Amino acid sequence: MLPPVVLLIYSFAPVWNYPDVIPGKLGSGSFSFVFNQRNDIILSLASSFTYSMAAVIFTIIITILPAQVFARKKFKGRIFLETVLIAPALLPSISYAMGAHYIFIKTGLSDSFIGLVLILSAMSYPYMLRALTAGFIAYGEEYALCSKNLGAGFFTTLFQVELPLLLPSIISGGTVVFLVSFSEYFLVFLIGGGIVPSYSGYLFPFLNSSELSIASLLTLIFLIVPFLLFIVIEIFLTFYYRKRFMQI
Amino acid sequence: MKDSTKTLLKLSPLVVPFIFIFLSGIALTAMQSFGIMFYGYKYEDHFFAYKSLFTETWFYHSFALTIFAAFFSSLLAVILGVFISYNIWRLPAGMKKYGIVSRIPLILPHIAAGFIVILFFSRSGIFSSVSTALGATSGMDDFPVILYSRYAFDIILANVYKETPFVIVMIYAVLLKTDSRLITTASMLGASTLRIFFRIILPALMPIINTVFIIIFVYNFGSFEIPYVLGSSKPGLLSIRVYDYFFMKDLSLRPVAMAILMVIFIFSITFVYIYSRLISRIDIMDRKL
Repeated sequence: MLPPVVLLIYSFAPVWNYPDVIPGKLGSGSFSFVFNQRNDIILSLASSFTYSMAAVIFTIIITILPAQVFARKKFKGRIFLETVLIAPALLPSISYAMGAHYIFIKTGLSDSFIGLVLILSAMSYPYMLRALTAGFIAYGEEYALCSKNLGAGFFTTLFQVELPLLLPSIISGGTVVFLVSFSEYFLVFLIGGGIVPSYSGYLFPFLNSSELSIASLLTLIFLIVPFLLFIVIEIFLTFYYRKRFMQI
Repeated sequence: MKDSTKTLLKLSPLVVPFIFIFLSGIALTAMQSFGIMFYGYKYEDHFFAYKSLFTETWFYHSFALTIFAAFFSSLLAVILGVFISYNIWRLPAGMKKYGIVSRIPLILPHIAAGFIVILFFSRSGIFSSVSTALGATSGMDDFPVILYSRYAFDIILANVYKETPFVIVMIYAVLLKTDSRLITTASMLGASTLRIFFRIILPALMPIINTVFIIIFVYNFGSFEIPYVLGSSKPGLLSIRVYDYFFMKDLSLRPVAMAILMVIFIFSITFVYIYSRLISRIDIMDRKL
């Protein structure tokens, strides 16, 4: 609560040294720096946004059918399998990422956008899996059975009946996957190798530097992107649900 | 199509991330820690990495420090989180929305959490300035050493700052399902606030508290970004040692990094397993009473 305010003040204070409790001088030096660098900044922000979104979409694709299985079918070892599948999110990512890095090098996936999306999805799919499984359980089988009864094929049922019902779960899982991917520094730097631009990679050198003012401003920008995203989602949901319920 | 084949097919999309990346990633880390499959290097003694770890004091130092930091970060985050979450839940309805403010650190990336600790707790940082102004300390050197502290206090602070909101969100979700009439009844029957908390609320929260503690502890144990931003003194946390051996030292020493990673991995799995068993043991014992 307090830190963002402090960051804001810092952004305006090119010089805020000990022992001043409030900055000695205010200035907009960091703002002009950011403005001058805006191309780089926008590029890395856009790149981070893109690979995070790609990770969200990819995790939806790979977890939607398994989620349906876990929610609906009872089979031996189901709980065991579900627990084991959580492992990549629970256990430290460095332990498998470094091994995977080697595989990626040998398969040519390292230093590439696709490789990065793959590793981010591998790390965060459990959140999406959890969310979707809960969503499937919440809605039960009746809707899908109804639509199959009325003659819909597998894909029609999936896209027109189940996905819209799962929208809240998709959003809840998606926010976690997006946040985790967007904030990630180490995996991006390891697998992306600096070839894939990222905002966390852009920000990092400033954090250890003496340019605290610029670092604070850049950190605030980092916070603003997910924040704006949430607002957009809220607005979208309001209109979407309004429209849906009006049609009844 | 047979039912079981259909099920298998439906489960197959997960094969890519789980087997191809996670399992083989671990397998490769393991193999490289033994010096196998490693850029064609030929090692005489496949156990050299492990030997060099277990025979040197820095490893045990680092291991102990990592456990210490992870444990206290998780403990503090849980205590604070439960406390804050409970009090938000008890607020009158109109004020509850201000609880949202406590969730801000959730969207903060870890490196930024480390940065904030630097801003506030360094000897030339904000708290130091405030404390000098208040007369509690006189000058930069008087302020306690937090950054680069030997006991990883800076890392603990950053971890707690980042993880308390997570605890708050998880606990709050469970609290929402708890009936507040339980509290009203108890206080009508004469229970004090403390009693209500420890006898009614806390037992109801224990399952989620245990889950959250496991998640946070394991995460902190293997976390790299916060210690990296904050910089550490020797011997530093295990994850920083990994970085060291992986990037900063000779390629031929990389298996040592892999060996440390295997230690981290096996410790994490063992911890989760033992902790979960302990909880179910205690649960069973409780029920027998």
